[in-house]
Amino acid sequence: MALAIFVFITWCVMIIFSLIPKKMSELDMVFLYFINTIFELSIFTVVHLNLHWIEVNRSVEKSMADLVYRLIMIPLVLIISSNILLYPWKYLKWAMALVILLSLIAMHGLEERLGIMKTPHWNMLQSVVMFSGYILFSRIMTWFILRVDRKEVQAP
Amino acid sequence: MIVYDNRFNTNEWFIIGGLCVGMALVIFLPKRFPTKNTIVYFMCGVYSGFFFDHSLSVEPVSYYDVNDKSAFQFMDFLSYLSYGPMSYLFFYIYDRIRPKPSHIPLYILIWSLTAVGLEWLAVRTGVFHYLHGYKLAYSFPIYLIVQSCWIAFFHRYHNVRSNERDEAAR
Repeated sequence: MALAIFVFITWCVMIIFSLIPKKMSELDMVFLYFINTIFELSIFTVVHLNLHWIEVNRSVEKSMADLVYRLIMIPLVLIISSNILLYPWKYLKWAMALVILLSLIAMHGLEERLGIMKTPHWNMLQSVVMFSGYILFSRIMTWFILRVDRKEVQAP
Repeated sequence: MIVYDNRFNTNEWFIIGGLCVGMALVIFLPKRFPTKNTIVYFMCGVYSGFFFDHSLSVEPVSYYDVNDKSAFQFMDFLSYLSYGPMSYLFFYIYDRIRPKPSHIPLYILIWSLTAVGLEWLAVRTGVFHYLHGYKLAYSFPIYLIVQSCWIAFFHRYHNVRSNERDEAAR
């Protein structure tokens, strides 16, 4: 059941991603997908394997659900947040970024409820810091890749 | 946590040496792609390394450990980074020789065999430690699939660029 729930939610995230207006080129988003996955997986591996703050369930179904969450859903959500933060809205974009942050925290909670992972040394504040860090990192990488583009255009 | 080794020895030198040679090739080869493409083609390899290592070497069954400990170390990160020059060279040579469509499977086969050869060296030097019956041969189809995806990605992006250029011309 856990796998089906996470695949369903990931599919909904993909639908949202395909519907929102994009502020970046396809290549920019591919870059963001790669870099966000690498960053998020590195942080998670340190927290999981080195610090043992999080324990992932070893059953095939639940660990697959965790992989769907980490390899597809989180990077996609971060691309959505980076696109939204590029919108010309003044306050609404920050409100939407906050909604995304809360959704990520809720997904973390859902993982715990479904028994996908246990969090013996973890609290809500750590989730807020971790996911805020992901969103901030994604925004910085967006700035970087768009700047590369601008430099290329100016160069000739 | 499994500890294989505590010293700075062949596996670390293999990674550092490979990364230096790879980065030197990326930096000193004549520029072929715009900077953004270069970054993305480089990241393709790093992402693929992370993707497979974090899906095959974690729960439910960890099929291999990387470097001295089963925990994540900085040297593990460098080993994933060393996949970057591989993917860049893959795209670079592909774009340089532009094989006919009928020759693309051969191109992928040569690169997959090269990758298997490099993985064999990495196993010999202690970069990878196979567990639960994993064998080098199992990596071969993974390389074939990943590199086929890279070719599809290259052509997809090439088509996007062509379409954008056509639209700009109109």
